[in-house]
Amino acid sequence: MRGVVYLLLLCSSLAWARLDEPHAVEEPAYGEVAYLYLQGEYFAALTRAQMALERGEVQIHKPELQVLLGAMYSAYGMPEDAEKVFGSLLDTQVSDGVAQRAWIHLAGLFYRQGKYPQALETLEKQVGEQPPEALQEVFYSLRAKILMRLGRYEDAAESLDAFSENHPLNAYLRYNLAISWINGEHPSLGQEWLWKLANLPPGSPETNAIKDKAMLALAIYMLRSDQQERALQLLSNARLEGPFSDISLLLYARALLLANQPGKALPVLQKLDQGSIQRASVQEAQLAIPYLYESQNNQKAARQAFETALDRFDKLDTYLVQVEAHIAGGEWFAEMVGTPRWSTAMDPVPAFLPQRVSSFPTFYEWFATAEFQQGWNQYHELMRQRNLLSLWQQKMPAMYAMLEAHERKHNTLRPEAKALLQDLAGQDFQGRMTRLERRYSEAVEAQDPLPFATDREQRLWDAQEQARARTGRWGEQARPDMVEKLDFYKGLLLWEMQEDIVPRQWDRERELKQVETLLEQNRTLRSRVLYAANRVDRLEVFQRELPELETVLASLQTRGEMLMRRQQYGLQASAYEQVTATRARLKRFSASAHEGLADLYHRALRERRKPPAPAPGQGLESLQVQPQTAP
Amino acid sequence: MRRVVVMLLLLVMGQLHGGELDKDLADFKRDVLEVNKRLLLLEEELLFPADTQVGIYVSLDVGHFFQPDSITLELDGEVLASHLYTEKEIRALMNGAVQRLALANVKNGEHELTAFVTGIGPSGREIRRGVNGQFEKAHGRHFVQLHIEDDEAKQQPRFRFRDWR
Repeated sequence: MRGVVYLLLLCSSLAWARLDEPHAVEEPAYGEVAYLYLQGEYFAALTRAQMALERGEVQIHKPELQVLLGAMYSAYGMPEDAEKVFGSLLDTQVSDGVAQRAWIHLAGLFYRQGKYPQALETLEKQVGEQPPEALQEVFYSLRAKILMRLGRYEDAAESLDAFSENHPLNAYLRYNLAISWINGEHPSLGQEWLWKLANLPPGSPETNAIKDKAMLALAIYMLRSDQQERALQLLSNARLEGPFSDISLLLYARALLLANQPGKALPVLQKLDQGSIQRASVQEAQLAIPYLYESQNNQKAARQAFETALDRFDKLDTYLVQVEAHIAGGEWFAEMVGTPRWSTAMDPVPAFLPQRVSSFPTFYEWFATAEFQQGWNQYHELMRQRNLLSLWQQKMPAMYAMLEAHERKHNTLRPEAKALLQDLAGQDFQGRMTRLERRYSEAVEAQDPLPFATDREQRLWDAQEQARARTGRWGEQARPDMVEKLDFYKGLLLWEMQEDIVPRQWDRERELKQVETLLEQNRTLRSRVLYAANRVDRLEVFQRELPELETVLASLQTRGEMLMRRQQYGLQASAYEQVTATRARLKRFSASAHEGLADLYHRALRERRKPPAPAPGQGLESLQVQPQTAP
Repeated sequence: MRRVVVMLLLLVMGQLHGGELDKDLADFKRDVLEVNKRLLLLEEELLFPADTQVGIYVSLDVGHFFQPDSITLELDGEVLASHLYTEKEIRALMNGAVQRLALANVKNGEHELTAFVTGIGPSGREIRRGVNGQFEKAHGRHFVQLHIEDDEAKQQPRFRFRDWR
């Protein structure tokens, strides 16, 4: 499971390849999608990406956003959509970097769909042997996984050598490859690799887990290949904590028995026996203990241990019958789910952990499988999606209220806006402006100072004109110097006005330009008011859309409920299979215990006549080392 | 007997629908995404019409000298948003992603933004800073970015608001 997490993390770094570099995001929508994506909130990120594409918010980063979108579709269990996005992206002209990222994602998608030859061909033809440095890690890890699936272990090993050995994913891949080798053509090479992994310096929980796994696999291989002493030495250093502690103890007991040290094996098995009988390793220890007593000729303790084992097996079987009934009735599933933290698909993803109820140890190993995790996560994600749908359904009345408020506002403002527009149309601002400009041009052309006179000058000019007219009416009665005087003053005024006519013209020109700017702003505002006053289509679209969305929400709720039920049935069926397998194993163990107990009684009867020889090694069948298969 | 029948049904259903379920789930997710997108667009249009909308974003470039703990944002003297950062969010910001801190409605014209930022600075010291900025809201959607960047010369973070159109 951790491997899957690493894979997803690696994919994250592939789709978003910026680490410790100067800021490169130029469009907020793209940065926002990345913000959600990098936190693993795929649903929210997908929604935001779709919104950005629909509103045309992303131009510069569009190809990168499409790579991100495809990667998210792929990680969110929508492979068809991912393939479509990558296909359309690769049909267009994009940069080499973007294309290579898209091709690697596509190859990863083929790998997840089990199309291994197609995945390898995509990598080799489209990306080549030497990918850019930023993509090397993800390229080589993906290539190694594909090659392993195709059984080309040597090539896979070369690929693994090419990327960071310190990366935890590398360790997981090496472990898988080592197991394949041990079970195949190169057991000694597999042993060497496992040895290296087992001797990694302790560190994070992930590193410790891979160390434990490698050590166990190595121990099993050593026990199978007659290297009991080395296996014993190795297992004596096993950790007694973590998920592999039970199996470590059991293997240690096996190794001690094979090394003919039953006295040391007994306390190990007894320690293991203190665990829940629902655990497979505890059941095995429970059966091994009486045989161990028997091999030590402690008949009384052996008999008692057989009886205890049979009693515990019987009780467990009765309990499992009840669990089966609870699985069939749905109570088991409800108990496991408990009350998950309420969240919607748009919220950060919480941990989906099964509740630690009484039947938890029965399913302990199954809970760690990818099959269970996938189904369990899908069930919870469906629950989160339905929560989101419910939230929208609850918001619907508020949406209608908001729409009504917009309509009310629109209905109030619309007549006001229309009246204002009509009023503005009657003002003929543009016509007046044109006339003013014409007058200005004529005055400039004629170098006429009067249109540029100040108010005081204008009044003075008018007074002089009036005085000249009156003087003219007086005829001969007027003093002869009066007309000359008036003409002189008029000339003086004209001279004064002419003197700075150019700055006056500039001032007026500037004023006209300011008016022109104001008119331009007025025109923009008018067009916006006009647009808003006539924009009924927007509200009509909302009015149509809201009821339609309400119907879609209801139908999706029903579909979601059905899908959740189907997912639940799938998990219940798998749980039932687990219980069936456990019960079958218990039957075998019970039969073996009964057989052992019968032999014990039989020998005891025979001992009354003549002392029988002990049967060394009997009962160790349950401790036979089974071949390890590749995970 | 009833239990056996129910379990047999469960097993058969599980086997029959296993592959089909993945496809149905993908179809369902697609439809939920579509309806969620439409509703969000509609809600945004009703709550924050483009003409009055302003979005405030936070970005971190590159984050050697600063890791944010919290931000309180004020718009024209009123608290608009407060945010406490999680580790995941900081990692996303340090990787170049951009956080939408708030969306608001404002009238056209001059507006003032103030942010109070706390976080961890160089050598693990706590940093508290206030940063001021103005923007002029015009026609259409408006974006403002609170940009936190490394000042290599001073070995300190630098905070500033800038228009992001």
